[in-house]
Amino acid sequence: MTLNKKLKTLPYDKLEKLLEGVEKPGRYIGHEFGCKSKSLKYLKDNNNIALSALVFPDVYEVGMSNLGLQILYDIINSSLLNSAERVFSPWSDFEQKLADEKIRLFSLENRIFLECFDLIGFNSAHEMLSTNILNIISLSGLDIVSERRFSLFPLVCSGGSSTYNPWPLSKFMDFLVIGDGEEAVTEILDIIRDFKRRLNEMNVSESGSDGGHTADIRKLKRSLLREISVVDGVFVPEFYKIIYNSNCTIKRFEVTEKGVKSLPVKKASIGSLDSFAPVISPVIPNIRTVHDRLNIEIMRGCSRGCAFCQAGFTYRPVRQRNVNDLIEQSKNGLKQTGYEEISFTSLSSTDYKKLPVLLDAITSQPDFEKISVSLPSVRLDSFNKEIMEKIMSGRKTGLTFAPEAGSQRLRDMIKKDLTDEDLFESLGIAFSKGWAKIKLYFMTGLPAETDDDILSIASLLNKIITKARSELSKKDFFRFQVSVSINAFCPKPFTPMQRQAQDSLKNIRRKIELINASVPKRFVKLHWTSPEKSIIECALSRGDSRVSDVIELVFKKGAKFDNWTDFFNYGKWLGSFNELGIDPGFYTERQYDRNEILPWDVIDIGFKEKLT
Amino acid sequence: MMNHTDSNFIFVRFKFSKLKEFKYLSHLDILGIVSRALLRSGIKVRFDLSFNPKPKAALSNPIPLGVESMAEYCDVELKEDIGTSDFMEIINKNLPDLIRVTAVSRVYDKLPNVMSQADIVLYEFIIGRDRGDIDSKAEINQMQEITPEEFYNVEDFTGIFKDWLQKNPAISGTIYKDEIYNLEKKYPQREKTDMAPYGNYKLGIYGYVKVLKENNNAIFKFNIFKQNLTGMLGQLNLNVKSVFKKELYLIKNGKLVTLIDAAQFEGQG
Repeated sequence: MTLNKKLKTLPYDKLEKLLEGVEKPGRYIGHEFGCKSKSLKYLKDNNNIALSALVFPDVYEVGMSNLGLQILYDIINSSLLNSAERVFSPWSDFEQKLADEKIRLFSLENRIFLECFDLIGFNSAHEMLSTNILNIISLSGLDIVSERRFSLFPLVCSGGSSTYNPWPLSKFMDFLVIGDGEEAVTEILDIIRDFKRRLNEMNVSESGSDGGHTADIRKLKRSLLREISVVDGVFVPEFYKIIYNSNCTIKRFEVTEKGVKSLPVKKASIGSLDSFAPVISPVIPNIRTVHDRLNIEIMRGCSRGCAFCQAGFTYRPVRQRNVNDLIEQSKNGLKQTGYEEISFTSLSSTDYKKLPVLLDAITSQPDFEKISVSLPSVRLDSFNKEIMEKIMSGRKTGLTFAPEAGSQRLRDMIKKDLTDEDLFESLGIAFSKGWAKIKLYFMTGLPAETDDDILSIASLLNKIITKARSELSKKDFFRFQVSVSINAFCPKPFTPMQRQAQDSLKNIRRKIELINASVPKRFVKLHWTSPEKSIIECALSRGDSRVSDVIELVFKKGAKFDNWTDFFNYGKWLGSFNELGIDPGFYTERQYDRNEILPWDVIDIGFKEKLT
Repeated sequence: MMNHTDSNFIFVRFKFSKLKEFKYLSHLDILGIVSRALLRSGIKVRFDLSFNPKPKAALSNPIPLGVESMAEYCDVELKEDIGTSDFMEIINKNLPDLIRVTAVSRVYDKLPNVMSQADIVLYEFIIGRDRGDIDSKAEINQMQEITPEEFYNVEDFTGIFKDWLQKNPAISGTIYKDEIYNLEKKYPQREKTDMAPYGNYKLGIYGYVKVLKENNNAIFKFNIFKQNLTGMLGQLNLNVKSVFKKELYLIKNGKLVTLIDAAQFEGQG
């Protein structure tokens, strides 16, 4: 028997049938400018290519805006030995068509069925994508549970921000990759190719759906996973186990496989960003996406220490790109893509030391007179006048600030290093330049939050309105709007607040009500994340291996697109927790004891100081 | 029509195809793709004066979603003179593979808006009897009852079609002319000898895209036409297998002139 599985693809006429009458068919057609996957012919002609499906488990418009996906796609496809194709979550109408036509999920580029890939890699960018991940595994015709998949390939893995606590997804993943993916992905694909080559030489079949071979296949898979587990950042769930106390806290971890690396598993971390150039020729979507612009990552990691912010700790250390390279790369990227907007991304772009130089070089180019520059996650305190004036000269989109709390007292407690004076100074510059659309982020439900703290959000907004009225021109004031976004505080692994209790649902609801009642109605547009969703997010992010069972059950009950307000169903989640006899409050409302073993203690993020 | 002696005004009209999967993209998506291709091509295009400046590019009439096209047109205003063959080569390098520019013409006078200039659109319907989907014996027997012994020859089919058109003045009033050709007759494979022969017709419909006083008082509505045609064909056990938009014309001295030819023609005049 031969190792090379036949690459099965969906014929064009079948695609036509699937697309009949579905919403936004442009999501499913591929053929964008900048696709880099190998052709089907190349894949068939060349033996032993490692074929990966890169999955962002949300719709095309969201997934295509994800920088991580574009980075890995670029790295994998730059090698002649590897090929990566993209996969996104089908919207419910398309999923229905797949079911009606009895067609399994396929990739965007060559429409290869997912079951034919060597590796399916998910970007679990946040916890609420968990059910979509299971849905995609299931739509591929694979069993969602790792130990019930009786073939060697495809291996199913996940990386991304939510995997720093690997347990909630552990039941479904053959392995997880924690940390930076740039180096790990190449190493893993090398191992897979080498393993396939050796199997080929031994003339071993890889598909073992028939009973007799199953044990052999499992053994093979285990040895392949052992090889992969050596790579920095790789956590193989089946090699480790949580031993629980009778009160469901963790007694200890057990290594169940001999000779594999001991716990904690070190996250993967690339030394310097400059060894991986930013993606300057990304796949350019055919349809409008969420962030349809050139994204250039200027820095990874954040030197601030906001106590609630997971990324601020897990993405450390701070690595800044060389500014001269960035200028060259940005110019080339704009030319190669035709984008009119460039975003200099990082967790705190205004902390990038050479930002003024970079902005100068881009905004002063006569070639780029139509280019607008955006900086996500602007830090008020570092947002100096010089930088502000530079981006103000471009197109006026919106300006976003994150004071996080209304009162200074609370900001100090969560180590959000900014004052009202910082905010008003920045707003003063913005208003003088005619910026009339402001967006502000706040959290509620913080430990020790009082009603006075909450009411200070309203008084802050009133002060902003007064300032806008006196400083904006009449014409600009006409357009003036403050968009306010409220999120419930959610204690996250690897933050100084990781052991804190989340506020109760009842309290969060009341506090949002209080904010809603107190903020001025005119000029202010208030949005809030459903508190129920925040509760589930918290339970998933602090979850242990038992939470895996909850995700499996809630998926079977039909949960998906949990990040979409129209789809999220709190009842289904609560029902699933209850059915399994697990109290979600154990993970949310409980203050963890300072000596308690945490599920994510199996991971070492390389942060030396003790958090709490 | 405007006359510009100012050499700073350089207009180019190009024709492009939009094939296969790209039939699922909207007019706005295509405009975005073409604009972005122009921007990354390095060809110096003129921008409009809007709040968020976009290249001055205008597309021909929107095409119904799900129809492939050989004849989309775009007028674009440039800041530099660039040869038409260079333009074609550069722009094709910067477009996704399912859009191909097939003709380019320099325009020396500003033409009327490409959308308002077209008078006639040509759609080509491939009509056939698709036996591929029929598996069950029952279905085959049922078909035997309705289908004639022989596949219609092209004259017969033309007759049936003309009769149908005549009975539908609301539709025929929107059609400039039609052509039926390319009868391709096939016989079933040996093991299915009890099946009727099958094959394809090519039906060309020249529909009015605007009201021309002397000729018509309504414009051709693709979806209505296709829906009615499909109904009629259903009774003959035929169906529309695919549709292409083939060409856009204007009527000049009673003759059809493609929009590319029109650009060159205007240029000389």
